[in-house]
Amino acid sequence: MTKTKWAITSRSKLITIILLVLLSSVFPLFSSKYIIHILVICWLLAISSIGWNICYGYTGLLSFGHTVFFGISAYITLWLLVPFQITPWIGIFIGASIACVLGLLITFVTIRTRGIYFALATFALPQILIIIFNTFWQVTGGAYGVIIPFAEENAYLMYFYDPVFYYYIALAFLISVLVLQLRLSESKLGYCLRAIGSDEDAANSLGIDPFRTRLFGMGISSFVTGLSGGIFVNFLKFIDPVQAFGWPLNIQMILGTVVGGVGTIFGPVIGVLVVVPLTEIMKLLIEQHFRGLNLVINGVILMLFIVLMPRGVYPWLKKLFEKYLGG
Amino acid sequence: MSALVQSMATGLLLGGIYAVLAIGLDIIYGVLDLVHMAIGEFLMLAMYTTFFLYTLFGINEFILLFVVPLIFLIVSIPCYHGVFKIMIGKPHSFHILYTASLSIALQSAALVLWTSIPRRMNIPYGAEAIRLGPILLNKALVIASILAVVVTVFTFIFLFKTDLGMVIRAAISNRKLISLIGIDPHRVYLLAFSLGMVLIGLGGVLLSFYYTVSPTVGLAYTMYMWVAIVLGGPGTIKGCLLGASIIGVSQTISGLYLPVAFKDVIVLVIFVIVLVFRPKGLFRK
Repeated sequence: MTKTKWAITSRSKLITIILLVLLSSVFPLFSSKYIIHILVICWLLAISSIGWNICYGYTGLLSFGHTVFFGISAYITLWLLVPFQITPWIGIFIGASIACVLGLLITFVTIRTRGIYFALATFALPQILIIIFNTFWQVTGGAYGVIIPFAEENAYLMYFYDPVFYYYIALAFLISVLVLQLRLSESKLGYCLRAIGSDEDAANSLGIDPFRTRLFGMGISSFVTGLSGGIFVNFLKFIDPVQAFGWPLNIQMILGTVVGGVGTIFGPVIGVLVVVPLTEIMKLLIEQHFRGLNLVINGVILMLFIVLMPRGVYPWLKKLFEKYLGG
Repeated sequence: MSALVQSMATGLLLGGIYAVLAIGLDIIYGVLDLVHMAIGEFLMLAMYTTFFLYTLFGINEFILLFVVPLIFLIVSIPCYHGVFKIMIGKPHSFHILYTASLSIALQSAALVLWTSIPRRMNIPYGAEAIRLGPILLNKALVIASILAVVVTVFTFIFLFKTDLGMVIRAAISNRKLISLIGIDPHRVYLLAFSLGMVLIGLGGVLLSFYYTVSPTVGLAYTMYMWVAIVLGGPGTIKGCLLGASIIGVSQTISGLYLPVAFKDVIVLVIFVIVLVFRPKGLFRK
């Protein structure tokens, strides 16, 4: 296999995905429940990180509002499950669709903004949703959050005691989303999105409609982020406004993509696999003494990455691969 | 009716304080072309500095008006060279990511150091009111706003009547050309950054007259400042005054009819409306 083929063809990327799938599906056989728990969170964060990557990495729209899609989808899935007993297998998709509609609405309103204006317009959205959810606590459960009540193990209601089940669910979703992203990046829409990301006016003059393209891009992006929210709430069986919309989640989502590699296929997954275990180790080491210090370190890591390695670890890893595998 | 007039007056007073902050950010953004999303956290630090100096050392609040900006002036130099200089000339999305992560780092550090308890500077006249015809105004807020107006006037005199101010305005209108007329751009950047930080420090003292401080206040103020700048049109320093007053008044008027927590929602709604209809700000032609 030559260097260029490894770098370009989507077939080799598909092979990589399949290899990773095999590796990760036998992994739970050899590891403890704690590690599986962390890996589930990794996969879920990777899904939302991919959602953010489709928005920022392709279209160049720096969004701080993606937790909105995550949180709304999580709440919708929960509300469908708890009073109405609608199975999460459908609820997740309903939640993600509603997140998608919300994403389209946000794009519709902010269509004339770009760059810092788009970032500012989305910057406060999660804050505002936290305020709304806390104010109307009779409906939303308020700051105390909502739980899925304890029940028997039940595949129909996606209620398991063992995290391994969630591991495979999250992995299946992650793979579908990865394949979706791969298809997207090779499709015409993907090229249009990237064209808009590099220069909106130039793309427009070439006959790419920025309005439609941005709608499609944001729609896919918010749907993907919504998916992870729905699974997340079924996994943790609890959600509150800060967990759903807050800064910590937002920064982790962004961190995953930026550390992994913005605009790449595997970047978000690699980034999340670097960031989440690091955060967990940090928690184990210092959390007892200084609560919240891990967020300080998260912030500093992100700053360092933007200065030292703005394109993430993925290009660097790819170079290593090519050196040893490409010959 | 008098409730409406009263909340409008309060809003204008608040707007006066926001104006000081917005001018500070506008100078930083205009000259350095730096999208600074951690500005609210610097304000939070200024408010904590004020609180601790006042409560622990008993320094008079009017003396603090000189002490805190002086501290910020001194801190701004290593801060510029160590943290912000590296970002100048890079794409805006890098700035936003970089400063947003700085913001979360500072916010969490404050949470670790000082816990999430809201703290307030207990000035003796903090709860007194001034009667002006039919309306009642908080005495501390009135004093803070008068001081804010004085600060704004001095800033304008500095910017429009002195040579250094002229250099800053030149850099705002065209930052590439200043090196052509023989001015070292990095010295202008440092000057503008320090001036912005001094104004943020002053704003922190003034806000502490009326508001409590907790580690998470920064995000909201970051939003107010940016919205004020965008409303007035970035780079137009006079526009900041208008933008800040609009924010102050809309906040207090929304407080009459909606739950208190919705004052941020109103600011964002106004912001989006202006972005949709006048993306370059209300003043830009």
